Amino acid sequence: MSFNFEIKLKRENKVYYENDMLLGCVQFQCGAETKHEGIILYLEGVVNLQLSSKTVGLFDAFYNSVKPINLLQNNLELSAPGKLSAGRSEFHFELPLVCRKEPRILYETYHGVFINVNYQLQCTVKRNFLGKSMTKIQQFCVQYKPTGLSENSLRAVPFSLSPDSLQKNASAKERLSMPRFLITGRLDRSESCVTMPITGSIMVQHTEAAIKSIDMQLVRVETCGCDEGYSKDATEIQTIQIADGNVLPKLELPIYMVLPRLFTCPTLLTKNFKIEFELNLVVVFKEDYTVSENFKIVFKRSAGPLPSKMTTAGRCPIEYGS
Amino acid sequence: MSNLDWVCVPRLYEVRKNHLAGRATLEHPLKQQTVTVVDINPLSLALEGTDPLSQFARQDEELNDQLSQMVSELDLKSKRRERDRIEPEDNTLQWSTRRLGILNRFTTNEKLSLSTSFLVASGSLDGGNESIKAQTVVADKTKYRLEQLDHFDDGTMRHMMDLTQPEYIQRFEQLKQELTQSWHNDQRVKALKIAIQCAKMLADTTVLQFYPSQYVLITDILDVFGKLVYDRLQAKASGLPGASAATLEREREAARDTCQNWFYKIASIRELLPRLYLELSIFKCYEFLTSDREEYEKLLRRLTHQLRGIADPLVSTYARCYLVRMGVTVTPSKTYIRENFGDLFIVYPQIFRFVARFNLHPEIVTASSYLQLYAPAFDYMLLCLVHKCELHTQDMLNECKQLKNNGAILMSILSSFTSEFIATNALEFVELIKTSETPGISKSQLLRSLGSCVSSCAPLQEQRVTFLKAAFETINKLTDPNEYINCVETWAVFVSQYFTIHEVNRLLGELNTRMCLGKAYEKHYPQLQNILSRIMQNYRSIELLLIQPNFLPYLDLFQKESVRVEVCKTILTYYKQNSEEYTCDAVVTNALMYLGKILNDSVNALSVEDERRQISQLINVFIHKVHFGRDLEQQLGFYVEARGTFSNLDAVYVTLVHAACKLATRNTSRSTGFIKACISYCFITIPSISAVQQQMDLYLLCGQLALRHLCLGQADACFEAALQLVNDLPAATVDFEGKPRSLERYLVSYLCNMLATLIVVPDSPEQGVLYFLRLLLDVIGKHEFKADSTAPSVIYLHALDMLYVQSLEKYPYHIKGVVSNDDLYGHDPKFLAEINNLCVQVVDAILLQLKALGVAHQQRQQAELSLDLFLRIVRYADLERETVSQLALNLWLLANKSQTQLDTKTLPQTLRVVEQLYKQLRDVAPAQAQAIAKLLLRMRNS
Repeated sequence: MSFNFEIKLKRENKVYYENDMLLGCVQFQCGAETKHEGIILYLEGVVNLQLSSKTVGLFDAFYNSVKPINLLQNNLELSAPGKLSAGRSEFHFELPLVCRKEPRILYETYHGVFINVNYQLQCTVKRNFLGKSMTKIQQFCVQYKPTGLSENSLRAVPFSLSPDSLQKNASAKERLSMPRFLITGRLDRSESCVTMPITGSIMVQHTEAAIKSIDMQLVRVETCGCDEGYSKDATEIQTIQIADGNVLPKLELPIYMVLPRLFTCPTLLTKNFKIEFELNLVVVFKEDYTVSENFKIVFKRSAGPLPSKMTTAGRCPIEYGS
Repeated sequence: MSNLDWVCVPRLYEVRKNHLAGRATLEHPLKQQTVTVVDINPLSLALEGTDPLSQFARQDEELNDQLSQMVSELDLKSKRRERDRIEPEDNTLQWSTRRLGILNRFTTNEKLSLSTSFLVASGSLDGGNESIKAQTVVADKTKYRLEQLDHFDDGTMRHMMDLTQPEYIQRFEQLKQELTQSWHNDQRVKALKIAIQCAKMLADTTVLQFYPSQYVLITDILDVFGKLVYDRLQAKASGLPGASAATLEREREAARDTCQNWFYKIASIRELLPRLYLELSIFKCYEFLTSDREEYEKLLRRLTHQLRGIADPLVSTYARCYLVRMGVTVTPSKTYIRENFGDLFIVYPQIFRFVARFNLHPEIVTASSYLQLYAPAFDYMLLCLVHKCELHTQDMLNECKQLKNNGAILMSILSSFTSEFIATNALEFVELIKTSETPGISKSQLLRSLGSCVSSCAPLQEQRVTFLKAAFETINKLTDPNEYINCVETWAVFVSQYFTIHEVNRLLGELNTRMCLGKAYEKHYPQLQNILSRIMQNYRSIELLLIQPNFLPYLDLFQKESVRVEVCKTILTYYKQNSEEYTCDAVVTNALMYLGKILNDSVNALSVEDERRQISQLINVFIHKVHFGRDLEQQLGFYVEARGTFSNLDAVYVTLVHAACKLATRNTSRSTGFIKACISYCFITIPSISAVQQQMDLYLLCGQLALRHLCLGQADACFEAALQLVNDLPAATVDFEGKPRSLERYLVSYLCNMLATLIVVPDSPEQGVLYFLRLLLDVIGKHEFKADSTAPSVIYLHALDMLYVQSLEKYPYHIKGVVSNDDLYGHDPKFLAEINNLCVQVVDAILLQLKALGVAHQQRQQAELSLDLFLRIVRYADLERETVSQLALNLWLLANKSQTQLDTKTLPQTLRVVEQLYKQLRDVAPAQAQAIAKLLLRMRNS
């Protein structure tokens, strides 16, 4: 009674656009002839929302509003109850990737802390009441078709950090006691493509206190339940060091951050939830106090200026040459 | 048996020599057939020339035969030439050649520390194994295993402190193994983590003086990691052999994806330094993503810029070095290297901020050794920049000029740029060095470097003098004798190779005055020695050097006896190799005598034999080279002087005697005065030699020479002296291997030689008939031979031969002008009676020997000896005398008694000889023949 099966997709990289046809087959490998009570393939696309623990108690009232949002739901009977002959058998399938109800769009695959957008195929082989049903899952990615960046995006975002620029968390007195420093720089654009690195530059003009490190932090801001109230949480995706040690003043340092796939997606603003991104520039001084500057950043998916081969061909499970 | 009635018979038959047929040949007949395999294995290629081990092996083989050695030396030379030709492969940029040098150069005694989560200290592991054996309860075991798992996966950093350098190196070796092992166990993430942790440790500069070595160790691991990734992707991309085009495309796509994933993973490393190092370590993998050269360059430039974020100049310099090292393997472009230098020059002043700090705190590290830390990285990067590309050379030089504290870069330029470039810009370099004031890098270091550059490639002819002047202007300003001498050391080659003797002399003079100040020479013997040997090696004429007024005073700098001797040896060795064939210059000779005298005086009772031999050999070469042409008197005068000078060296005396003998033969004048002078020189010299054997040889030689030149008195004196020495001859000498070697065989052959000479020596009027022969017999009689030795018998037999020849009417050979005994006595019966008398004595002596052999049961030797004597009696003596004939018969019978001991052919052949003699004499001397026939008959009957 041994048999094995797997769901194979035609596209090696498992990346699909809306309205694409999901082509593939379910392959069975049976040791002997096997009886079954039907083989069914489910297609599923869901947005899972979760409230952070700190908000759950406070906002019990709108707990309902964060029920999952179905984007895709489809099933297909591959075979009526019957037998699988010994050896290899294949069931080919073809499913349209279309969202027929609200929000009538397939969001991009995204894995966050409180929000997940996930697409998967599930194949179940039903067995008689004695045998357990067997299930296999195959995930795949959905991406938006590349669109051009807006005019705005090409504009650089200049910034400068000095004791004077720190209005929020320092009183005037504190600011006076601070060592003097001036750090300037720019981000090359405020709107960026998820497949391209974030670039820019930074330059320490002068500083009284020695710098220990300059870091660039990428943060996701996830908002759930926009209608009835909301929970908004910012969590770190990754931090990349730009400078290590007390760098020479007047030396232009490049900012260069490759965006992690899966953990980033084009900025998404919907009725029920929001996925936004921010950058924090953090300067850590030797005396262990830090100064940071926050940047809002909008991600899009566009055909980047890099040659096609260099662009990301996203592939779901990260694999290191297994 | 003294009643023997011996009468010599005249020789009535002709003595013929049977010459062997000779044949011309091109091959040495004794040469061994050897097959030389011209193997060019990559291992020996890697080593320069031949590898030392196989060289020794080959030498051993060749020692067997001098000739084949010569042949194979030729072979070797041609082989080397061949090798040079097939070695176009360029590995100047190869890192592997440098890493060992760095590891050896930068070491530390300080304790090092290392942080990793992947090494379990071996001690604790062992302990763990024991405890698992002790615990038998299953639950415990499971618990232990879980703990172990935790132990491994918790990823806590373990800080290993207080590691010594070897321990530290060993830990990295372990990490390397761990990495490879993890990789092959499909734990690629773990492998990556190990690599990251290693790269992180490159930010640690706590033990500064070890940093370059630390860098080498860690980049080794990164290299291993990079290669594993690359090979894996390569294998993936090339797919299985025989796959269809479509699957191949798919495979390639998959490999690209995997490659992309690697870069993504690395891009997310938080810290800057490990992120950059890791990306560089797999830089080669970019070829799976792009084939565009420009793309590589863009990537390299991006990394170059990112490196600006590393604040520590040492860390960032080495990171740049790694970038360049990875870059040269993928692109020949130099732009990014140039850009790295651009950034480096911006950071450069920062280095000197550190230098200033270390100047205040030399206990951490001295400024100069701190700057030394940068040298390997600078050198390598500069080399890569100018390798096969001259685009940036001038530009770099200009940049260097602008730089403050440019010493460190200048130093690296001197060691990395081609000597041609440096030679072309030599004047500029001198100027640069002159103005360079870099803390931690002294001018002498720079000048030293420049010196070795121009030594291998000199500036243009017309610039040389100005250049040298300018350079020495700066060199002479160096006040510290240590700096001064270290600097001059490299310039010696340049000066001696490209300048006239006057400059060399001046250099020596300057060294003399500089090094005498405050006895500076005492501390710098190696350098002084080195300078001297470089000059000797490179200056064209060694004779010219020797006569320079500053040369011998330079020698006086070596006050320490042992060094002085060493230096003298070096000079004489160079003289041996490089001098002209002959010299007659009195100044040269004097200088050499002076050197030789030092060597001679250094020899004392405690000197080892080898030392003596070496010194003697060197002096001998010099003696052979002194040649005053036709002025023989002066030559002899020189020999006299040499004898006075080299009184400690026997081997030199031997050479002098030979040289004097040779000189005598060159005499062309009629008078024998000069020859007599030569021989008396020898005669006086010989007794000073300690080895009796050598004395004897030389006396005989001189005697023969005197005879040849009709100096009979001298000859007699020599022969007498030689014979008187026989009894002083030791029974054995010790040969090279320390085994005793008996001198009896030597004595036999020596005396045979003497006997052959004595044939032509006329009797002296003051002494009796055949005085020397009597003396010889006397000496032999007194000499103590080994028991059972046949040596005396052989000598007696030859003496008998000699006596018989004396009895002949005409001797077989003469020396022109010497009246030998045949003419002297004119076959006088009295003389003949004397000879017969002597013959009887000799025969008696032989019979005594025979008896002794019989007593000692040496049958075979006894039989052989009796046959020898038998044959001589048959030939030489009158057999008509009954006593003689009876003696012959007895001897024959004696030999027959031990027939079984002899060769089967010996007796019949002896018989045949006698029969042949009978046949020869049958017609010319019937009476004699009759006697032989009678003897034959009796022999048969008995």
